[in-house]
Amino acid sequence: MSRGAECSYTVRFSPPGDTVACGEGETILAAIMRSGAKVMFGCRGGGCGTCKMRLISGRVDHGRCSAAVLPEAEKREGAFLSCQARPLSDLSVELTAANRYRKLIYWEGPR
Amino acid sequence: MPYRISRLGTVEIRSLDLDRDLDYYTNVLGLQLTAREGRTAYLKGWDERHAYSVMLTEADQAGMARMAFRTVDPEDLDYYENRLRKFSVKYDVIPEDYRRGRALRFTAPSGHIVELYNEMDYTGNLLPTVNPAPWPEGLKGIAPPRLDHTLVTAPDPPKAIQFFQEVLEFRVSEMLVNPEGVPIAAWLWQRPSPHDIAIVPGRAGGFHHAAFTVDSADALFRAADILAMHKARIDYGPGRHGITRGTTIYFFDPSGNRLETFGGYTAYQMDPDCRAIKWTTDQIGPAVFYYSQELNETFLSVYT
Repeated sequence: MSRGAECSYTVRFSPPGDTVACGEGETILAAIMRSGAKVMFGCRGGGCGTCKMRLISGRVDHGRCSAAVLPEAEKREGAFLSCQARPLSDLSVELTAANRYRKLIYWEGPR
Repeated sequence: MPYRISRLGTVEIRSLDLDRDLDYYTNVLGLQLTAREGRTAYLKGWDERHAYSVMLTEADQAGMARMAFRTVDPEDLDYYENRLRKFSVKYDVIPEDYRRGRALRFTAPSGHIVELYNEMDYTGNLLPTVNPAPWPEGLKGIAPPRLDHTLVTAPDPPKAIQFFQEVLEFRVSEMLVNPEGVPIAAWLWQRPSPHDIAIVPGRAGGFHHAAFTVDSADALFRAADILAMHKARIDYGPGRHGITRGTTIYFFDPSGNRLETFGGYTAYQMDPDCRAIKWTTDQIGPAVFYYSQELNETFLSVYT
């Protein structure tokens, strides 16, 4: 099945239970930030491991990550670096306190 | 005490994808590519006169593979060999490396591979040596003139600091002391500038950043513009450090190694009798980021 450029997957984060749309080819970190939320991240290059998360279900393309911060054994247990990983299916992702997920406040127009 | 180390001569930085990162190092950071041999590329700033100062080597992880200091004179290498023996530091003699002569290689207590060398091919900078212009035309990217310093992490900073002071005869320009008066971080110099290397707490062998000189406020802001235009990850800045007074931008290469454009133009010049400046850990915010007066989320924890 071919997928168009506008195709996206749904990524569910628990806690807090928020879902974001993540485009095919978009990193999970980029999708989070585009949604108006923020998480802790460092180098954004797959080198430092700060933005590591864990899959509850689904599949990702891990991208290029340092083996020092994301060894194969951790990948097998579901760990991924959100700055590099791109979804290959809908995902359910476990967040921890270390991820520091928070919604940012945005200006809204007149109601 | 004479000074025997002329500069941080080379750093070898690991790259997760050499083709991709080489494009960044030459077109965004704007270093000159001098050679590519297999999995390593050799680069330098436009004003550096020796063959290279940065080695970029493809690997399965990010970080720094080694750092090397250049001695002032060839005899200084013998002097340091005697000191390594005197302090019972295990070392290897590396007869030669790419366009470089004999080196002494050892592991510092911080876990880093450190080399000392004197001879490297003198290839000149990008300017003529007769009636030169102040800078060459046609530079790309930020185009810093030279490598300035590195900052690395150590699990036992006092031990690592002491090693650089006692064995290698670096001097402390500034230090960060905890309430017990123990220096947990230090900025160390031989070249008469605030630092050639700095050591902070962290993992053994950790690479916090390598810094490249920018020589004006204009150059600093232009560097920030270029990084943002290329959507590079800027970690902090433009700003100023309390420690060293230098202006700064911290940013990351595509493999996640932190780099810095360091504006030593605002810093001071060391004299041999300069005494160390002390910062207390309760003032770590302004010590590191003078304007925001607080650390950002990543300074202490994010390194490769």
